[in-house]
Amino acid sequence: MDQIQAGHRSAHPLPIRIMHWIGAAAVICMFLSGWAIYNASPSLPFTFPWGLTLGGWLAGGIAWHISVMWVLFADGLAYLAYGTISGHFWRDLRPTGPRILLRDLGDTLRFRLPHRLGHYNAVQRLLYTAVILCICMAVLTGLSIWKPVQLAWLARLFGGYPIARNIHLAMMFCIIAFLAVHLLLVAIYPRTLVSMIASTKAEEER
Amino acid sequence: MIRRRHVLPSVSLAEISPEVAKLSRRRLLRNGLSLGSLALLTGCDLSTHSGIDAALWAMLRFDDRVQSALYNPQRLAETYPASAITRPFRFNAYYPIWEVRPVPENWRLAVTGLVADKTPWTVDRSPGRGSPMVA
Repeated sequence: MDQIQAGHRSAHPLPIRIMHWIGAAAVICMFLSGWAIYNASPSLPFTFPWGLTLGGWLAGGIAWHISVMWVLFADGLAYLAYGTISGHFWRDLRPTGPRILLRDLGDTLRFRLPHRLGHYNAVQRLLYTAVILCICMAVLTGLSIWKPVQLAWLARLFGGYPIARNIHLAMMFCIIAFLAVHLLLVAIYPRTLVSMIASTKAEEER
Repeated sequence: MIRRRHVLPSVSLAEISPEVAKLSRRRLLRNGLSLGSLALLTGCDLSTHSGIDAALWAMLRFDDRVQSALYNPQRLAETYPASAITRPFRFNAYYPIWEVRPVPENWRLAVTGLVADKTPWTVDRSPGRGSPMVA
């Protein structure tokens, strides 16, 4: 059975759990305050409902955005360092190759994925790697439009301020798309939520 | 309107009037919604003295220190051609667009301090430095 516990490795070590929830709260705050900033000067033909924004008005939204930005920045750097040094990235997020990816993708679309705590299938590896890259890209484009003069080299790297701003916006939509899938799967497999809160042992891989 | 010669970033009432009309219709709804969001998220408008505001101010002071560490007076802002100006330019002042007042004919900006020319500025004397709509 899947439920046999494998040794004493934790499904999610404590540092990962702490950084996950700090990052999750920070990303939500960045969404809500970012929408308040976007609404002041929309570059696409829509605005976000004011009831969903954080900060009340443009300056309040900016205050939240550039405050929480440092929380996300520090949390992200700590996670990247931990993920590299602890082997989390290599063990859990390393790409599997196209054959296994296609097999797991087929299983996912037929909802035939056994979620084994502490193990990452090819689709999970791809999605988690993608969202980590999207958040990194959102932070970098965000820095470039925060200080477009002092960090002009960074803005230039993204093709200039207006394009950097649109990439920043596109990353937001990508992260929301990830979040929709992520929350749907957590709703289907609630024990994954428990394993991200309480210390839970990793299950055996079949 | 005030007659000007070659003020570049300018806006005319005709350019923004459709936007003003649209926003005025939404005014009641918008105010209702933003009041609702403020009630839900008290202390987010930086005008109260809640713990959230204190935390935000602390972060903003940290942000100021980072900004001054990054600051290099040698770096210049990128320049854009006049054709890149958005018309009508985007409005994001602290007051709503329907409360914009045209600058009066006798508008003056006094200039003091360590400057060579202390002649007060008028709208005609400030080409490319603002719009006649600035209230």
